[in-house]
Amino acid sequence: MEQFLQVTISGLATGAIFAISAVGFALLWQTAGAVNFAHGEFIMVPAVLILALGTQEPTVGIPDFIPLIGGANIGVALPSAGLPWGLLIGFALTIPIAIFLLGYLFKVSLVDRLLQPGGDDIPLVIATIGLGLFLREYVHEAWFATPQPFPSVFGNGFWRPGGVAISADDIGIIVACTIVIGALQFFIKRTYLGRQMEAAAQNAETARVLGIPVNRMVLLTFAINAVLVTIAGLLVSPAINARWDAGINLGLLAFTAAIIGGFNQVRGALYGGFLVGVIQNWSGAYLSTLYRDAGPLLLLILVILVRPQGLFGRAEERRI
Amino acid sequence: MTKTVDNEPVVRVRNISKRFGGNQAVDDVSFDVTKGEILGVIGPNGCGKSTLFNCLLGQYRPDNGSIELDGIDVSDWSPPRRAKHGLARTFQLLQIFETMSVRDNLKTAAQEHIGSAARRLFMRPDMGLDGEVDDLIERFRMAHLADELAGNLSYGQQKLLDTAMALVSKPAVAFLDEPAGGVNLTMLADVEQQIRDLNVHDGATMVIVEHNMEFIFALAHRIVVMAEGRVLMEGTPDEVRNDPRVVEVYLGGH
Amino acid sequence: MAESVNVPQSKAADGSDALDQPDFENRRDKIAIVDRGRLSPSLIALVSMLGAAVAVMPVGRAGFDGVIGLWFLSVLLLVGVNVAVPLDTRNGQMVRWISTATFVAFMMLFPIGKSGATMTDFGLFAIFGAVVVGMNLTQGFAGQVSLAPAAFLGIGSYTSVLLDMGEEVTVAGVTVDLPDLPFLATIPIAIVVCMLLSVLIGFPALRVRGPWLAFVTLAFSLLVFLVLNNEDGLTRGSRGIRVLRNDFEIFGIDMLPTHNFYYAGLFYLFFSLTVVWWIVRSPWGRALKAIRDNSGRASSLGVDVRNYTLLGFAVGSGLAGGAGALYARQVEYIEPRSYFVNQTIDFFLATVAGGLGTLAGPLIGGSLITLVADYLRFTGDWYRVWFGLFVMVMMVVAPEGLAGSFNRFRAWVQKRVDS
Ligand SMILES: Nc1ncnc2c1ncn2[C@@H]1O[C@H](COP(=O)(O)OP(=O)(O)O)[C@@H](O)[C@H]1O
Ligand SMILES: [Mg+2]
Repeated sequence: MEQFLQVTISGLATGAIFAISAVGFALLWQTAGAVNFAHGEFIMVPAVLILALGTQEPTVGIPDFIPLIGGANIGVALPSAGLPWGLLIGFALTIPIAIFLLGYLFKVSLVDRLLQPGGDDIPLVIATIGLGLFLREYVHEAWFATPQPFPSVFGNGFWRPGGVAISADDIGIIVACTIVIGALQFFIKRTYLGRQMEAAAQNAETARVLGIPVNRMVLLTFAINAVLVTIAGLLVSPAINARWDAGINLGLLAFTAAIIGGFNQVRGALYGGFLVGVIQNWSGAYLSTLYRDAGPLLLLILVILVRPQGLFGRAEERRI
Repeated sequence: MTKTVDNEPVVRVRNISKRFGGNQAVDDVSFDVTKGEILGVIGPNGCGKSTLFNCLLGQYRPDNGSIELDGIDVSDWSPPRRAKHGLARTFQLLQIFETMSVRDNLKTAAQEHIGSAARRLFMRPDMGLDGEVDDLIERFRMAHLADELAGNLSYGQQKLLDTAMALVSKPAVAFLDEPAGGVNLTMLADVEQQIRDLNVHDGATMVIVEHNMEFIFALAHRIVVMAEGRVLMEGTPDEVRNDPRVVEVYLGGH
Repeated sequence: MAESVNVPQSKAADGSDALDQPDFENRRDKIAIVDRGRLSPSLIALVSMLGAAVAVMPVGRAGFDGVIGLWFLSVLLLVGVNVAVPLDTRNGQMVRWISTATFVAFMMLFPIGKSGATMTDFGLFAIFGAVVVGMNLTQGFAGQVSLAPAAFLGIGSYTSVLLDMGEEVTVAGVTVDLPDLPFLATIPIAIVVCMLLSVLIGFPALRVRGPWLAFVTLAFSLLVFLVLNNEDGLTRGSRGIRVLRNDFEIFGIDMLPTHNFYYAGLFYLFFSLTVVWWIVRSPWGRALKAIRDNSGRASSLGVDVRNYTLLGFAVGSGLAGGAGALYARQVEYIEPRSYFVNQTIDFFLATVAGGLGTLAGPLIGGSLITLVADYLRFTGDWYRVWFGLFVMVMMVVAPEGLAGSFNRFRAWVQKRVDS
């Protein structure tokens, strides 16, 4: 029983991270119709940036080949005062960079060019696979080839209430993700901007007629996605380290979550994320640690087989 | 021309309904299609004619109702399966293979009706269809265009090609959604002539949605009038022409 | 977010696709319309040229070779002739046959005077080229992205090697005594196993339109890797299996010398090209083309979009499986890592870079990931960074790939010459 609780709680923590990354993925799908096969790299890159920009002992400098500043260590080192200030500063600095690179630049350079309304999504699929390769190999070549330890914002504490070992990191992640999800829901449902964005996602045509700047709303979802992946990168990296090849698994599990839950609803992506995290940890604990990822992947294939709209999605007539 | 029709129904449409959100696009539509006839379907814009076709041919899943072909319920069949069993169609919006030649468009339309998939793999690309296809191209007076890319044809010719694609496989029933829509006057007579010709000489059975009243009244043996998703009335062109309800639907709507 | 957001574009869950509304054009982007449907000679010439250029490149390899130099010049000539001669004239036909024959002859004579290392590269080029040919059938002709070719390569390798070793294996506690089949017999088995598996995973994924197959095949790749890596009793896990090439012959020819084995790969490459060429020129090819052009219309005319696409995927995967059998002997050592997603990404690059929906594209692409990549090793893995960038740029500026661009160039020249 203790073990079950323990496994489930850490499953919920991983699941929370998958949930926010899956939500970002689903948002782009809904508003722009964009399928991003570099989503995993979109989580990995901010993690690397955070590490580069802000740990107390920066392990990652500016790549040597960049003129003038190459080789310099750019990390902001602050005296530790209980809180991992360096990490938080790195995070704060990474957010605008991510919004620019992974939001704006991604949208204007690839998505806008490759996705025609009513057209095929395959060119964008191909281009984002190329983008994923580019980011992965770039980090591998220019930054580091070996996994870098990544400190947790929440420290390494442990509690043992009633024999159940619970890590501070897990609890911190669950709390942080809940706050992020709550804030996102609040933004979408309660603020004017958020409602405009929702309208643009639901029906771009009608929204345009109503005078909503649809394109700007789509850009906003790209920015939100960039923030979500940055948070996901910050939270997931302590468990898996900052590594250049983390994106393959992370990305796959994020779409797995989105597809299992149901693409066409943010709620679906959320539930899907938690489900994937929990199932992953259960299969790791009760099946075999070697097959941790097999559970979610099998479920993915099963869901596509019997319920392609996702467990929580709604089957819909094509809107034409 | 004499309009003679025997009375055996090939297609039986029963209680088809389709709803989009709060919009009942098709509401409990039933009718029969008799072998060898041309059945006209008319009604104001947005009354659900195209949606009805989409339900009958499998592009949409109707909320309710069934369609039978030769006594077999085909409601659960996929669109290609319906097509292979003799339910052909065109779409309201022109749908042709623009990057393929006229001849290849027609061969594509015909090939799935010949042999099994495995046999098609080992057949020559022309599949012995050349004669048949060229015959049809000839009849549609497009011989000089046979090797032209379909995308390069004029709109009227493309529309004609689209119709020819629905008919090349000699379907049990061809559903044509506005075959004369957007076609200019000189072409129009041509389209009418071809359709009548196919009906009279080849016994092709057709269900035709059309806005051009003259066109459809001249062609159809029987007409179904739809309004707001329902069947308003059904009858011969003369009956329909003289029915006050029809006049009201058309004039009242404007 | 929205609880009632509509599925954008082509994601309707019940596969409905009506074509009546003006805003729904249902035209596939024309990424794969450069469909020559035949071995375009100038492209083959180009590939051979690329190969030759690589062969004579002095970087890290035994140097210049007189035969290659001559051949290189003659190919340049052929390309020039090809650009000038319209393809649909009698002369054009002849040029096509001559250059195709030249290509075949070149590949056949290539091993003369080459070092073992060079032939290892070219053997790999032939084998990977075959995988890319298959992948191109899936992606370029059937219009679906498969991210499992490396997994199928792996399944092919392991199937073939295990069936050829005659040892006991244990899966999930059950011990099975595997037969010791001759190498040649294991190739068709590998192909069939991969085709069956691909039908199994493709069938659900192709139920609805959209990039589902890409997701499912990616998941499948990871599952395959997990199984290969963890089922010690079957695959010996991450330790891998040594494959000995010195104990087998094909039709009495000893396959130990790399030169000889190169021919096995080359024949398989020609076999794959023939299979794809055959499919593309048959009525199936027309159906696939129609699906790419306008799948909704195709389906309403009786073309079973799902079956045709599935078959394209299955044949493509089968070709990868057969290539796996050869690959295992080429590298003489198989381990799960060789079949991970990275390898798929390489095949993918090759497919896209070479040109989707052309027959010669895969050859160009295949040489890119084997020969060119090998010469670029001195950059570390930097060349992979450029490859990634290259794919993105290419999708934006020239989605039809190198082969397609070349075709376009030739059309342009022809227009100039005509007028
Ligand atoms: N895919 C769809 N989603 C929502 N509404 C639709 C869809 N297709 C058609 N409609 C609606 O159904 C009604 C009937 O349309 P349609 O069948 O195209 O009419 P017609 O062909 O008679 O002009 C219209 O109000 C139209 O807006
Ligand atoms: Mg209509």
